[in-house]
Amino acid sequence: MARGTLVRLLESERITAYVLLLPTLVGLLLFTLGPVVAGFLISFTRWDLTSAPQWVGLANYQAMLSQDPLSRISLGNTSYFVVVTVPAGVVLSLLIAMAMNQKIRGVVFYRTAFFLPVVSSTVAIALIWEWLYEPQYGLLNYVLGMVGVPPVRWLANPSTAMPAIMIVSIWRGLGFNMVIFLAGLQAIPRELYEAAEIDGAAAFARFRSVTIPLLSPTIFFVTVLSIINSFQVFDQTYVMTQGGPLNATTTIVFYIFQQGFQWFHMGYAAALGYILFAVILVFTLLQFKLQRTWVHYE
Amino acid sequence: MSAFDQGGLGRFSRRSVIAGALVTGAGALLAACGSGAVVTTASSSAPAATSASQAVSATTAAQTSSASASSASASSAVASTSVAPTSSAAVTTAAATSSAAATPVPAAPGASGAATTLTWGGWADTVQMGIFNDIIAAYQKANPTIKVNAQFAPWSDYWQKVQTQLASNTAPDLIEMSVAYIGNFVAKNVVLNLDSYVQTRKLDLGRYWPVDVATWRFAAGSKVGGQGPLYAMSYDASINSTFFYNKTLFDKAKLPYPTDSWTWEKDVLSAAKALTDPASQQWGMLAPYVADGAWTSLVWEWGGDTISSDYSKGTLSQPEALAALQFIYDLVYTQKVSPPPDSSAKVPPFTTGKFAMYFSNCDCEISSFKKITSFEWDVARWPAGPKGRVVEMEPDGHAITKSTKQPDQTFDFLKFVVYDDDGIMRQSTYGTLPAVQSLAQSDKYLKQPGFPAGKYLQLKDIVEGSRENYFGQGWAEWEDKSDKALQQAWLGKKSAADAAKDADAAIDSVLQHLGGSLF
Repeated sequence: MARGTLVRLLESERITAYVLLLPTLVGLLLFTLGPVVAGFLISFTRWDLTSAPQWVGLANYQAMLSQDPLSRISLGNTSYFVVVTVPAGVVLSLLIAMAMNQKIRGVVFYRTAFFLPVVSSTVAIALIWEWLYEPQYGLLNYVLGMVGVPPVRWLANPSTAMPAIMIVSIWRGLGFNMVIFLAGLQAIPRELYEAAEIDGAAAFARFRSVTIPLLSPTIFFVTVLSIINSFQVFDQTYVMTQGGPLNATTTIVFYIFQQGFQWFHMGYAAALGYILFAVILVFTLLQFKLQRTWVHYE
Repeated sequence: MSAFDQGGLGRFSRRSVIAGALVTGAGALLAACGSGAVVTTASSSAPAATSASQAVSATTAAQTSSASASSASASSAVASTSVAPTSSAAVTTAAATSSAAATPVPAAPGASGAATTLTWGGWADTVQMGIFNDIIAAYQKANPTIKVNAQFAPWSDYWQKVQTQLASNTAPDLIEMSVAYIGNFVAKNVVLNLDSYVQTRKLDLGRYWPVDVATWRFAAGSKVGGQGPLYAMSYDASINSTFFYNKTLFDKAKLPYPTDSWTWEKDVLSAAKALTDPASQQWGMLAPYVADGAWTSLVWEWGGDTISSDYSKGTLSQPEALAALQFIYDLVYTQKVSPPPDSSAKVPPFTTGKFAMYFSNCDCEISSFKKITSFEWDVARWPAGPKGRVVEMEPDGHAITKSTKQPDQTFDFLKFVVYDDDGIMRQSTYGTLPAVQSLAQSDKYLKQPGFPAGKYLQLKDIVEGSRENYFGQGWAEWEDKSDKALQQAWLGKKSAADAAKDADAAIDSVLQHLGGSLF
């Protein structure tokens, strides 16, 4: 009987599944869940990485709320970034996806061109854009100069620095969203468009009553991902502005990095990380709640 | 400080930073909870390892020795001469190697056959990187048994890297050290006391500028350097406050070159006015609005200070300091002889030839200005303020980490880098003043190709009127925050007085939290 159980156990697909999952599960536990728990504990300490951590209770969270203006500034900057880049990114990539869904000459080339930034390193992209924005020798100011616009110091001016970074981020994200939208668009049955056409629906009406409802799960997916990614913006500001000028581009993740790895306030950085986690969680839950009102699954 | 490479290599992706933070966090926290000392994680696993190769990979620390099987007995010889007192893990490893793997290869007699690998960490721009590699090549040629591995990073990344490496016990044997950080490193007990090595090798510290020795001495428990054991050795006496001028523009305007007696309010200002020409986009100067050598120096020259001498609060909004900051503000917004600072310029503005005077915070910029061909330039003495001339200087050096397994070989290399004429002269092409007095005064240094004729003037500064900034715990943070606050004025967003108040508030909050329960 014991032998029978063993054989059955070995033959069962469940075991095979777990064995195959094991490497990923171990990795997940060790390198994701472990740090998540450790980070939570660290957020209640004062720790400079080299000496032993001291338990300080909620002091880090209190300081964040009452004493540290930069935590508010960085959250504000991040919200500004999210509010602009998410809608702009979603709408633009949807438009591009619809264009790329047409039968136009060289469509494969265009799709590749739009997707290229996604597979390039953000750091390389940021360095190149830094040169495009360069005040004295940059391409952008050169082109503007030809039509008589005086040189703009894109990244050195507190009011233009953040928009400059937003443009890079939107441009970089377009291709990824486009591919997902493209898949969504191609899954919409042609018959529906034909039926709508026979019913006399014009192009915009077809878009509103066929495309949008049937694409809504994709739009939802893209929006959730974009919001999460936008809240975590770091690479561009790190490379292009280091959070400046005048903290205008200090985003929350950049600030976490600065607190943790430049000033070695690991405890405080971990606490900021948990605040960011809470913010993202709330936004995501909210979206899942709201989706019932506008997302249609077939 | 040398070598700001702000454009830098963004070595960290967003995810790796966060993952790295949390992973390091988890490991070190567990270790700290387990034994009370973070540094035990790596070595504690070594004795348990069964094979030599496992032991080696477990102690990934920048250690030499037993990695090559051919040198089994030689590496145990090394262990017995230099490593034995401290590192039981390394001895275990060496023993395991000799018993397990290496019998077939006859070992060279004594330690001479052992290839020793040293690691050397430093901050570097591309010029400095070339210099480091040149020094390494020269040393390896003279010492064929030594191999030096260099780990470079731009200034701001370097300190993150080293401190993270120290926490995970993987720090290089030799680390480049700045006066801005030595206090922290001594307090954390991670750098080696060099006194006995200096004595054994009978080194003459009188070769150095006095400040280049005093800076690295710290008495136990002291926050300020000056006396006590020696924890690092200088390669230079970098003069931060450096006055560059464009000779070609002075010639064109038929103006006399700057002299020793120039003051800010009279000579600099009138020359700047004469040299400013909005029509051709030519500016009289780039105003002294950079931190650590430019605006700090003016604050001192006006009789003010950045922070109170008891290291407790910011004093930039006091009348004297504020007068200096106001003067800089006026250069940009009232006199209009300088543009506001441009943090996004990818090319150093002075090299465009459109600025007659440039008040820099590093003499190391000589190394990049050497390549200028479109105009003539030189270095003049830093101008004086109402209370005289105060130039900010800053020795840079190297320290040996306590975790090194081979302090003797590391010190021999250190000696080549910071004491021997050959090493110092190779370093000096960077532009900063050599730490060894006789070399700094030699024609060999002052008349190198591409060097400005006026460089020798800075010798007077180091003897007469130079001082260091307040470097101590929390410096990196309050320096950054106060500078950002003042940039509000330089960018015209706030008055000098309001910006100075903000700067003080930022400094206060950092200094008050030092050693407190916050952050």
